[in-house]
Amino acid sequence: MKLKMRSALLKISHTLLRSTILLFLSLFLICKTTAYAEDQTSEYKVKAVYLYNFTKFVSWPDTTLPGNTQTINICVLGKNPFGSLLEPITHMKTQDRTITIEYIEDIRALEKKSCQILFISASEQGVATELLRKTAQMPILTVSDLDGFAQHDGIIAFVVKEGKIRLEINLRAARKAGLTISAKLLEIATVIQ
Amino acid sequence: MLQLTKNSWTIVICLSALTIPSLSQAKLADEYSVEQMLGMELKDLADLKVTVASTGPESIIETPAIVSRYDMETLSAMGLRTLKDALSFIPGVVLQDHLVGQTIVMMRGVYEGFNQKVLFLVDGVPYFMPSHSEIPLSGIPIESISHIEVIRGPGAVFYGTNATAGVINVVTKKDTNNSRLSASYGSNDKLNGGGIINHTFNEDTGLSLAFESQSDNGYDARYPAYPGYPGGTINKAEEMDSVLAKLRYKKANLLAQAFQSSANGLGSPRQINNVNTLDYTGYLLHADYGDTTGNTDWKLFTDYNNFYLKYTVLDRFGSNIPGGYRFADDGEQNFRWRSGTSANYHWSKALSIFAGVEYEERHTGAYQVYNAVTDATTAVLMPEFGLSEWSFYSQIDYTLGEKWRFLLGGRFTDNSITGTDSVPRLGAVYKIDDEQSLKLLYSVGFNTPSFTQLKADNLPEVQGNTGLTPEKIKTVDLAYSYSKGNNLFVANIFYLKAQNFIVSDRSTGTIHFYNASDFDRYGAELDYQGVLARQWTLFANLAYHAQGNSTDETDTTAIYAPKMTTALGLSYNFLPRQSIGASMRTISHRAASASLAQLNLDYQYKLDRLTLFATLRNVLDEEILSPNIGEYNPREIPGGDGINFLVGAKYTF
Repeated sequence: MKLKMRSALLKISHTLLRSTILLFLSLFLICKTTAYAEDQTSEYKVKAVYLYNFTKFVSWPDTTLPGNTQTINICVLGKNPFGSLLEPITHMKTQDRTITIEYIEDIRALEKKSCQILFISASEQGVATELLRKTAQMPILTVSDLDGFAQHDGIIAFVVKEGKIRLEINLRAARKAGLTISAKLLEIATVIQ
Repeated sequence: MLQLTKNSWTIVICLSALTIPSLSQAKLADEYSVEQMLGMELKDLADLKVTVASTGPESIIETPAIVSRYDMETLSAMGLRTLKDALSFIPGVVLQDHLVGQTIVMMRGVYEGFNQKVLFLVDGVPYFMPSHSEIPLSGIPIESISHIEVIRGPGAVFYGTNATAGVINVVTKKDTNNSRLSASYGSNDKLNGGGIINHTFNEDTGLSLAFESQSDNGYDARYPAYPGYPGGTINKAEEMDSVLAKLRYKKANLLAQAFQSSANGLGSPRQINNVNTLDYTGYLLHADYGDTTGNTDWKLFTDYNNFYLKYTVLDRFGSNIPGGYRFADDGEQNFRWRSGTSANYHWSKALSIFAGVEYEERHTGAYQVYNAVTDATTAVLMPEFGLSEWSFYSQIDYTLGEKWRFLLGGRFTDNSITGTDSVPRLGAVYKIDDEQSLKLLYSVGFNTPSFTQLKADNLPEVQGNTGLTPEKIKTVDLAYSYSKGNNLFVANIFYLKAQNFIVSDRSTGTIHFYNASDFDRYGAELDYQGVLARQWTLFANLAYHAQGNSTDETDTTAIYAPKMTTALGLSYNFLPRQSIGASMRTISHRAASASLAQLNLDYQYKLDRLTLFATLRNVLDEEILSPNIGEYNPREIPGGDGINFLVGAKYTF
């Protein structure tokens, strides 16, 4: 009798385990999907939030971002390292404008876009110098995590120091592009003149 | 010897919680969602520690230990898609099958068949079988694993028993990660399904639920002939079901995990027609609560871990009657219960003092020999047994100027069976500059004898030894570390001295356990991890073990440790959506077994939320044979299929 009970208990525990798995499966099926993103290291989470902050602490010349402009456009050029981490930023309001995100895989498509912030992905390393030369006089905030980006006339570079994401800002390049960078942002950055 | 009850222990915890002060720590970006970070001040954002590629949030060059950290996702892209494959990529770590089916973890050439000499942690919580010290290598849903951290060398000061050769910490994903479903199909009709659902309700509350289930028709495993044992082939398969749930509420965390797994091999008397199955069943419940008061971080924790095995062989009694071993009451009495508290007091920026106290009970029900036809118990191999243990541990961490960091720590243990003991830890880290460091480390690990080693009593089969003393491994490491951007390189040499090493002797036909003579070993390890131009990821490591594959009267297990292991992994993201990857792991020859080289290839295609993958494993079609290290003889044991494939899909949401 006792043996039968043990056997029955064992069966019940097996059934419970399987049932739990089925329950999880059901949860998956009925659960509404939340924000989708590829599994990223936290590195790009922080960089995504920085991009949002740039829209708050950088001013564009009135000629390119006049008062009646409704959007601030963040463009990601090349292989998208953010996954969907920029989704929470999309449609947020900043400087009374709505943030939009554009993913541009091919540099040739860039000319047709209007970008206020251009994040140049590491996949574009081969064309970065040429790209910076072309955009140098344009009111575009160029941002990248390519090595030596700010030293090569990029405006803001993400660098990893002591496990933290730090900024290098090339003020000369920013002025050339007609952009004004707030002192608050400069306070936490290394300024490259 | 301390004689406190559970009630008095509860009082100690509560009083500790009231009296412990606390500190502020570097915040980790992993712990916040993008939404949460959007509300941060710029200076707080700039102060967040991030995970970059495979290097951890705490810079590995500053950590006073020899640590390897690998992201599961990165290893998967190199064709290493199981926890066992991932662990076998760590420098100097070899995983191989025991004759009866379980997986033995060898680290720095140190191993034992039924008393693992590595400690297995899930999110920092110890998980092992009280009777046999087995570890749940198939018990953690693969989709729940964020990364693995492996300390090579003893980690006893923080973790206590079993952390002699090293510590494996499986770190699970946060609830702020994405949810994912996965399914795969492979050779031998291996079907695997799993997933994780993460949900953050608000800043204070988050939930993760994960599962994995695998069925397997098995591969043809060839056992070469061995004196007294004709060769032959059997079907070898591994199946499992596992679930894991985590709930975070404010500063409290709950973890619940359960699993069942089944593997097979050759049962006693190890003849080719005598196939056994080895079933593991276990669950872990853990709760902790931590906070910061003043300059002190403090934490209270408790966990309950039930874990047992059942072993059934086709011919247990010599007349084709199946039977085997099982625990009374279906393993209900096989548990570990642990509770404790710890506090880290930050005296100043340069000095912190850490202290903790733990109480643990380990218990096992009677280990029975049974007849599978009648279900009758025919003998008791080991009686019901239990022990209790108090531990007190402390560590002083002092930073001198910009360059030096010193550690001094120790653990005092009062065990109801083996008595009192203490182990020290010393360390010095010299930071050459922001990118380089030198470390000199000394630590001692101990392994309390497992219950079977102490109490097994079923002649002529096995005889435990109540006179066994805990074994110790004293290790000195000298390491150079270099870290710049996404590149990490660590080179270290080690020297270890094993004392009272517990081994089994089967020469008389009866399994006896004894403390062996002391022996020394030394070796070197190189470990490189790099992300090149964001598209290439390259991992390479090598471990050299001077005494590997050598015969020594005082070190009888060295012959089964390889002199050298290497691992190379590479993945390349080409075009925005595709990646290819490869990994190669080699183990040099030992005893009668030839060297091994396992090459895996991997291809991934990402289509919005869907990732499709195809993996070819053991592309060189090597016959994977290893010496029978669980029984200390050169008989060759199969440990995996020839060339085989896996195709699957993952849906992220």
